[in-house]
Amino acid sequence: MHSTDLDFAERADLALENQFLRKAVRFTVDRLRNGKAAGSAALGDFESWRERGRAIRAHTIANLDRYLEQFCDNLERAGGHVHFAADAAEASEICVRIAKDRQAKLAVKSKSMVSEEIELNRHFEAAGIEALETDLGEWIVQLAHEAPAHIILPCIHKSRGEIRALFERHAGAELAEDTATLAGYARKTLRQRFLEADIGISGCNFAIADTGSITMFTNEGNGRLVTTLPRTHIALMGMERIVPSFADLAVMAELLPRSATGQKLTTYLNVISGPRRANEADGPDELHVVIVDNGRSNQLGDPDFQAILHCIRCGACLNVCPVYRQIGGHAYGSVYPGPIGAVLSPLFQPEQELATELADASSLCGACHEACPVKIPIHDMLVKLRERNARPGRKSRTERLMMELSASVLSSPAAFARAGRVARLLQRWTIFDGSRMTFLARRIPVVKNWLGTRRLPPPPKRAFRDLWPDLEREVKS
Amino acid sequence: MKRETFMARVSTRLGRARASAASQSPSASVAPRRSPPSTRAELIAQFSSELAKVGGAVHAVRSNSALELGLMEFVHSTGGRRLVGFGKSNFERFGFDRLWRELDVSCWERGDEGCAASFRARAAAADIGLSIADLGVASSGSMLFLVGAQRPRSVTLLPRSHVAILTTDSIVADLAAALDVLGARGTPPSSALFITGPSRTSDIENDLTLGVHGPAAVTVFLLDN
Amino acid sequence: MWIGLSTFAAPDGARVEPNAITTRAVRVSLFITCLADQVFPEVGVSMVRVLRRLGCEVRFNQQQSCCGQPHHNAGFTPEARRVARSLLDAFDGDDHVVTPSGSCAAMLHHSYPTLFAEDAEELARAQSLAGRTSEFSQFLVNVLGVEDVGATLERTAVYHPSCHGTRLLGVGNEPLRLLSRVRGLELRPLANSQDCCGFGGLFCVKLPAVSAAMTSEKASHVSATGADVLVGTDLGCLMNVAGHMRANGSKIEAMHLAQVLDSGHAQH
Repeated sequence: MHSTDLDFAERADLALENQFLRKAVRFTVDRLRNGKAAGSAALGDFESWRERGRAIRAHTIANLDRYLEQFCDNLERAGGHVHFAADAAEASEICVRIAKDRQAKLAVKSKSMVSEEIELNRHFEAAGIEALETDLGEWIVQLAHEAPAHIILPCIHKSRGEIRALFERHAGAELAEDTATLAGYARKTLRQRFLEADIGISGCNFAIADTGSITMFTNEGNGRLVTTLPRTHIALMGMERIVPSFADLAVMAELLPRSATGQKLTTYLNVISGPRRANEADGPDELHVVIVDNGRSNQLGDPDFQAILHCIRCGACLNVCPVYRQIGGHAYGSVYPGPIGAVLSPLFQPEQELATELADASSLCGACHEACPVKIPIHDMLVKLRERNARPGRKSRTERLMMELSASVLSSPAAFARAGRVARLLQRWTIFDGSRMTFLARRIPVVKNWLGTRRLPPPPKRAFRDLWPDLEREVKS
Repeated sequence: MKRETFMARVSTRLGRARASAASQSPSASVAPRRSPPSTRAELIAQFSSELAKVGGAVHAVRSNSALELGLMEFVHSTGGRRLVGFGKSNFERFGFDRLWRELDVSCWERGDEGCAASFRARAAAADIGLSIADLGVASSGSMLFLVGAQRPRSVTLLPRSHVAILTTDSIVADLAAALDVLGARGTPPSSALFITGPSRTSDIENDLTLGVHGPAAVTVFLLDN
Repeated sequence: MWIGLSTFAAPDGARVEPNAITTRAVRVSLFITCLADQVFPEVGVSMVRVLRRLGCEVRFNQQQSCCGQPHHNAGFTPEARRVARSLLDAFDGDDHVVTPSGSCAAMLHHSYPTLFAEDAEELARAQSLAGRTSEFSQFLVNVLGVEDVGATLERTAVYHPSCHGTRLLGVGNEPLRLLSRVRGLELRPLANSQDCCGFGGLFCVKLPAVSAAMTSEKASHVSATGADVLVGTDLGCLMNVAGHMRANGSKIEAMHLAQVLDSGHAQH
């Protein structure tokens, strides 16, 4: 686990040194993005589906108050309980209170990014209640006392050998290293815990206003076990995770799995409308949905950032991001990694240092926007975040000075032309003479870094603007 | 936090005093549709091939007796001994006889809490879950199961092997069509489950493995009616 | 007055005879970009020659400098606006504006509308400029309707599609269509071509190690093709990738598309 007192560049440097991590991340994101390409091609006319997805999300968020009201009314009618949390602390408090009131000892969890966001496990532990992750990757990460490295594949940074070692320590016995044995150990061990658990905690991919339903898209089946076996089911839901009706779900259900892994549909799509009913053999007696704000409502009404609430957490932007590809998720130091994390994290936690540094963790290549199934302009948002960070007092004075100075020169073409002549002349002596860095250049870290890994042709004697008079004559002659 | 306070903040941020009626969701208006298979045979073929792609097995049968025989042969071939199933009344239309006599099947019948606890224990110990799908979805090879008094969740979840009966007249083209059917039924069931093949994970070094939590095998007896 | 576009729309694949259109001059104002102006002037020279061969009347306004993208992308919006304003001044009028950078063209198309959103008059000028501005390959293929410019280059090349040009501006296969008509040129496909090369303007200065890792992966894909020329439409990316490769002993040469299309002609 990377120490949080390192800054992003230092955490990235650490990640770059981890050759297993880099190979594993590249392999995984290639698999996922190739899957997405095939899955979206199979759907046909994917651009129209994206546009439809975008329109549904934009409409829903623009009318979020109405749809949330409708959802809550319908869920209560179906026998569910709705809770509202303004922030992470309140969300955890609500969950802990529900668990304590029921004298719970064990809560089994399926994958939920909101639970990571509100650090639910820590709060449960403090209250003396065991919170057990049951998604295979999440369990591995929990056994290693780490954080997920990817939104949908939490333990891509762990090798088979590391996983075996974790399981052997847990089992107190030796295990073979093949996937079937390791997954089999997880099945056997966790199945027993599911049967013992008092509380099941899940996330919610989309709530449906029209019916008061929550939906979960999962592959392993632990999401179903969590919502079937314990007597109490608590679903954590970001306040924006809602669509109006089944017709809208039909569109999002085509976009989400295809964008995440390329699957046409996840193995399980569970549409839950209230707790177990009379005469049903199984299912939870109680369903609690905790609707979490935690920085989200601040984005409503903000023309630059409201669209971040359209996000459906598919992870497609991670899989195409050239920065994520090199460093993986932990270097971001935030719950949500990758391009979406670089926007979400500072918006949800504006007071933290993340606010200033993650916005720079992008080459603004735009691959995230291109991959997004609901067309969120993530790269534009990163620029807008940089704009916030550039406000006086927030950036280093050197950067501000450089920017102001260069703007003065560049906004005056005459000054630019003069500066160019001087710079080209000076740089031969001071920086780079066409074959090697000068003595001086080797002492300026930025220059040394840049030129140390790149060989440039010798600088031209004259700029294009100086050549132009000759070029102009060329045609006249 | 109180609901009123929470909602008031949302409305205020959106620039209005309180929630107002929303216009129609755009899902209906902008509607890219794939061209779905048109004939029953095409729907069946697509359902079967999509399910096979995700690791499910499909056995086509043409009569109730072939269904019963097929199921019994399947159970014997897996070496499974204990079965757990949906309520027996669900199967009446298939006219099973030998199957009930010769196989050890625990079916859920509505009863008190004690029954529920013992049913859960039997489901957890069973080798095979025997169910009936409400719908098939051709575009993805999925099956829809509507949970209800005679249709427990555990049957399709706890045993290592899940066997489902699906009739060919209940295959629809895509998820949108399936959700249309679900929506048209009025109040949805406590759980509507779309199941697409066996439980899967690639969490260990991207190596796909089946059955990490849910059934490792999903077998469909597709009855042509 | 420049001629309407349809006049130039050559039938698909037809070679446009340069002489056939010299009498109908399309007026082009060159937006050279600060990088090409100061560091790669030869790219501007090639652009001028290619455009003239196709019958364009090329002009160059000395009152231009930079589009303001470095400041904009760093979040220094007022500074970016200040620089961008000077570009609006330099390109008033109704000439086509052609630039050897998809990234700078994208800045005009994608970012100027928000940069000047608050002043109606400036916004109108910005929109007019964006509407007249094309990246070089787009101008040749979509405006002039030309794919074969009569170039010859006996080399093995690989084309890197730059991110801003393709994703923000919408450059598609125009460069490849132009390159496929260059006599003698063997074009090889590039694996993971859609991935950023790691340049990203100030990005490569602020996060040099991450940038170098990205460049290194790009370089390995370019190397694997065995090509001896790396062709692109953005000089920042070309300088970055070829610079990295040459620092590691490769003999690869970076050429802007304009230089390739200017090859094999007797120079004046």
